[in-house]
Amino acid sequence: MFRQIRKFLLISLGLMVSWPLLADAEDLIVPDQFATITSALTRAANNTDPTDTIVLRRGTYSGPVELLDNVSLRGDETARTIIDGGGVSGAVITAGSGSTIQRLTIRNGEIGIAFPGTSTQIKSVKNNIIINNTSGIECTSATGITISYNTFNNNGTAITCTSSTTVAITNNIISNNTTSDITFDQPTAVDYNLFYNNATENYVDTQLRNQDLNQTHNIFTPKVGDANPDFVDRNNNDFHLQTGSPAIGTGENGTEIGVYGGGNTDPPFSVSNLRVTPGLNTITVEWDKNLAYNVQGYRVYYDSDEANPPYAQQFDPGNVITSQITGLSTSVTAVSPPDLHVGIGDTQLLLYWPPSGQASVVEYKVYYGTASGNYSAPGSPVTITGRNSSSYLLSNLVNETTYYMAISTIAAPVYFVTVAVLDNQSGQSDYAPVQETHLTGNNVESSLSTEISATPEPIVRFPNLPNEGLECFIATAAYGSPLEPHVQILRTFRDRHLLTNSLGRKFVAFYYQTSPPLAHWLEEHASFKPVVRTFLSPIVFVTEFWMDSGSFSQILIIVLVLSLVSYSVYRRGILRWGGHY
Amino acid sequence: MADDFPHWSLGLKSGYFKPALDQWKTSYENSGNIEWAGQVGFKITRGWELGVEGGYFTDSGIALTESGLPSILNQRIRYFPLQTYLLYRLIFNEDQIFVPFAGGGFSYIIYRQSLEGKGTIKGSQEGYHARLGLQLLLDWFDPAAADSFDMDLGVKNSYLVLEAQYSKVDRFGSESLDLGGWSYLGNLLFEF
Repeated sequence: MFRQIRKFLLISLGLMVSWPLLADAEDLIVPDQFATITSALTRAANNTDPTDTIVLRRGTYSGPVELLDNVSLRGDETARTIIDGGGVSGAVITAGSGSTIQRLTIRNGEIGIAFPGTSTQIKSVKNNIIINNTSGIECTSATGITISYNTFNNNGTAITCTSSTTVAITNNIISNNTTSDITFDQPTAVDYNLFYNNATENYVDTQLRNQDLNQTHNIFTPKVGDANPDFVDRNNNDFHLQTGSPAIGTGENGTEIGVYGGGNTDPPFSVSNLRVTPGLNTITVEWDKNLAYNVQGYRVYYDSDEANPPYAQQFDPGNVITSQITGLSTSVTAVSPPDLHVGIGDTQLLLYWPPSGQASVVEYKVYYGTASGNYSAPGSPVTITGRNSSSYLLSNLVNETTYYMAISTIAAPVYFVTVAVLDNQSGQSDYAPVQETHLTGNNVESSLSTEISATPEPIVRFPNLPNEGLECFIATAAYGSPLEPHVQILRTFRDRHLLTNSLGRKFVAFYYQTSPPLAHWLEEHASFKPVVRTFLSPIVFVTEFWMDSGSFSQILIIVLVLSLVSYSVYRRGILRWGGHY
Repeated sequence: MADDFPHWSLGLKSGYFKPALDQWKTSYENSGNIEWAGQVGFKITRGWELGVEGGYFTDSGIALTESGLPSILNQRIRYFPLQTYLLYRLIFNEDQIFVPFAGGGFSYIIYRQSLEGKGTIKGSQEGYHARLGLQLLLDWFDPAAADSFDMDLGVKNSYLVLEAQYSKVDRFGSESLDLGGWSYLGNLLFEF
C-alpha cells in the first residue's frame, strides 16, 4: 500500500513539474517576459507543445535568429519591430518547418529569411518589410512556403528559390531591388504582385511574359514604368501607400497589395513637423499632412500638466493640417525664485542658480546695483530667457566696487500639445513629439530672491611669473639660441630697464617691428654672425655690468659718461673754430 | 684593455613633484602633481656619470583674485625642466645589487602659464638641483631575462631606481619666485 501511495505521489510530483511544459501553445513576449529572443527560444525548446509564437515588442533586435520547427515570430508593429542583420554573412532569420514570420522589418542581412532543407510543414511569410538584404528570401529545396503581403525594397534579389516546390508568391510589392525581382525555377503561383523598377525583371521577363498576361493579376512594367506603388516615404521606412497607388484594391479579394494589406492594421506613421503658436488664450497648431491614403483625420491633444500623453483634453479637427485651441485658462501662479550664487572675475561677476523645474517658468530677471536693495545699475534688470538657463555673466563692472544682486522668475500659463493621425479602421498613430508653449501677455513675476553681494577684482596668476615670450630676434640669430647666456642678459635688461618705462617700451616696440627681417637676413647669411656677435659683445658686457652695478655705481657711470661726452663736444668745437684750449 | 662597464644609460622616470612655492595648494587644490622625465647619461668612470635630463610637469586649477578668493577663471601651468648633472655611484662591480648615488647640477625650467581668456605667458628660469637615490639591479632577479635582453637589445644592466631631487630654480637667488621643489621619482634605467 505504501508502495502505491509513493507511486501516486511521484506521478503527481512529475505532473506538477512538467505541467508548464505540457501547456498549450503560448506567446513568449520579448522583452516583457524574456529579455532576449534567445531566451525565448530556449523556453520554446523546452516546451513539448511545439507551436509557440515569439512576440517581439517594438524595438530593434540583432540577428541572426534561428527558429525551431513550428515556432513562429511576430512583431508588434511592422515598421517599428526591426531585426537587423548588421551586414554580416548568413541569414537574419532562418525559418523552421512550420514557422510563420509576420509583421517585422528584416534588413541588412546577406539573406533576409532563409528556408533551408525540405519539409512538409506549411511556412508563411506575411506582412513584413524586407529591405537592404543581398537576398530578401532564399529557399533551397524547400516546400510549402507562402510569401504574401510583403514589401521587398532595395534588396539585391527579392526572392530566390531553387529546387523548391509549392511556393506561392502573392500580393507582394517587389520594387527597387538592385539585382533582380525573383529568381525561381518551380513556382506554384505568382499572382497579385506589383513589380516596379527592379534592376532585372528576371521572373517577369522569362516567365510571366511568356504566359498569357490575362491569366495573372500581376502588375508589372518595364524598368521605368508607371506602376509606381507610391510609398509615403520609403527612405524613412514608411511603406504605407499614397492616394492613387496602383497597389490599392488590386490585391486578392480587392485587398491592398504589400505589407499593409491582408489584414495588417498597423496605423499610419505619426505627424511630422508639428508647430504651435501661442496667443493670449489660444494656441494655433499646424503640422505636415500625412500622405497615407487611409488617413481619415487627426486628433489634437493638449494639457497644462507636464505628464506624457494621452492628455485629458482632445478634439478631432478633421482631415486638416491646422487647427486652433481656444478658451484656454490664463491663470498662473508665481514660482519661487532660486538661490543665487556668484563667482568673481576681473570686472565681471558670474551669477549662477539651479534652473527651475516648473514648466511655467519662461525667464529669469537679474537685478543688480551698487547699494543694498537699490538695483539701479545701468542695464539692470537683465532678462534671461529659458527655463533651463542657469547662469549669467555681468561684465564691464568696476573692480573693487561691491555689487548687490537678486533674481526673480517670470511664469506664464504653459500648455503641452501633440497630434495623432486617425485612419479609416479606427486606428491611431503614435503621438507626435510633444510641443511645450506658453501663452503670451499673462506673465507673473515672483518676489526677489535673497540678496547677495560680491566685489569684482583683478585676477592674479599663480605664480606671478614674468612674460618673457618676446624674443631677442637679432641676438638670437647671432648667437644661435634663445638660451645662449648673452641673449639671456639682453632679455633681462629689457625686462628690468626697458619695459618698465615709457621710453623703453617705445624703443622695444620699434625694435620688434624692425628686427625680424634683419634677423631673418642674418639666418640666411650665417657668415656675418661672428661680425654681429663682435658688435654685440661690448653691448652685452656693458649691459651685464650695468645690471650688476648698484644704484650709486650706475649714477657714477652716468656722470662719467656725460662728462666724457661733454668734454669731447667742447674740444671738437674749439678745434673747429680754430681756437685753443 | 676595454672598459668592463657600460658607458651609456637611458632612464625613463615618473613621480611626484611638490613645488616649493607657498600657496600652491590654494591655487591648484593639491600640493603637487605627476612629473615625467627622461635622462641620458655617460659614465666617465664606473662611479662618475655625466648626463642630461628633460621632463614635463603640469598642473591646473582655479585662478585667485588679488585678495586670494577663488575666481571664475581657470589657470594652467606647465614646466619643461631641463637639467645637466654629475653624479657619483657607489659601485664596485657590475653585479652589485644596490647602488646608492648622489649628485647635482644645473637646472633650467621653461614655463608656460595660461589664464582663461587672458592668453599664455612664457618664460624660463635657471637654478640648480641635488639628487640622491638608490638603484636596484633587476638582472639579479632574472639572470636569464637579463642575458636575453643583452643579446637582443644590447642592454647590459637594468635598474629600478628610486630617487629624490631637490631643486632651487630662482636664477641663483636673484628672483623671488623659486620654481623648484622636491621630486620623488621612480625610474627604469637601462645601461648599454
